[in-house]
Amino acid sequence: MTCPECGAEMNHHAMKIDYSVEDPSGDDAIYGGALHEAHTCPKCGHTELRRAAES
Amino acid sequence: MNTRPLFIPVILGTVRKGRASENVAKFVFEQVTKREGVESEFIDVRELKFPNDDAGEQIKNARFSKTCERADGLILVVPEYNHGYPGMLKHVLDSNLKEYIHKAVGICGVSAGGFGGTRVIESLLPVMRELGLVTIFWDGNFSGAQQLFDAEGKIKDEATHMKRMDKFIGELIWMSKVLRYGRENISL
Repeated sequence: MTCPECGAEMNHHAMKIDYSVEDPSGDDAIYGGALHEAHTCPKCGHTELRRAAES
Repeated sequence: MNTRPLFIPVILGTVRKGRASENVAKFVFEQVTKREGVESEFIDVRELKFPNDDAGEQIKNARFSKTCERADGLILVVPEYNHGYPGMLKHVLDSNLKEYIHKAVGICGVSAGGFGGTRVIESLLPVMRELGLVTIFWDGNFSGAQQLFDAEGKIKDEATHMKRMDKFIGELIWMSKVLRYGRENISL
């Protein structure tokens, strides 16, 4: 994933369930929420969450 | 390795009038800003003025979220109210998610009684975990909160509290550095 702030390649360091989604479907249903990947930029420190199903 | 200064804000976690935790938070903020290579910011949940008719990321405060995103670690200064934490602190913390993941947190408990907010710290641990924060094993414990400071807001037993804070902040800095390195360099 490319950092939207500085363009550097981000590091995928975590998976996190977001329980706030009302209707998790597909693979997410297994976890009871939406599974997200956490990516952090080694250059500027910016963090992004991306829905795992979309990666 | 990234050489940006560490950023470790201090969050004063209560909105109540006459809050004794305010002096504690100012004392902790003074201690953390003395550290070389560490920047901080004083965040007062009272000043954030979060709405109370919704919750979670629907009520994000742009400035607070940006501060948490920039943070490498957080210090929470939290009074113990009936053995629990202030509802407004939880309300504020719940407004972020990605901003906390794999970041360090240290908690300073404040109580009127003699246990230094131990119970509020313990009750916050599972919340920290679910938010994605990583707790350190040193705590700040401030007992007898109403008598801890003089009329000018200066802590009375400074030597004792400075020694304890030194250990607490040292551990938090170490954890913040390690987790920053991990976030930025170690892939899942």
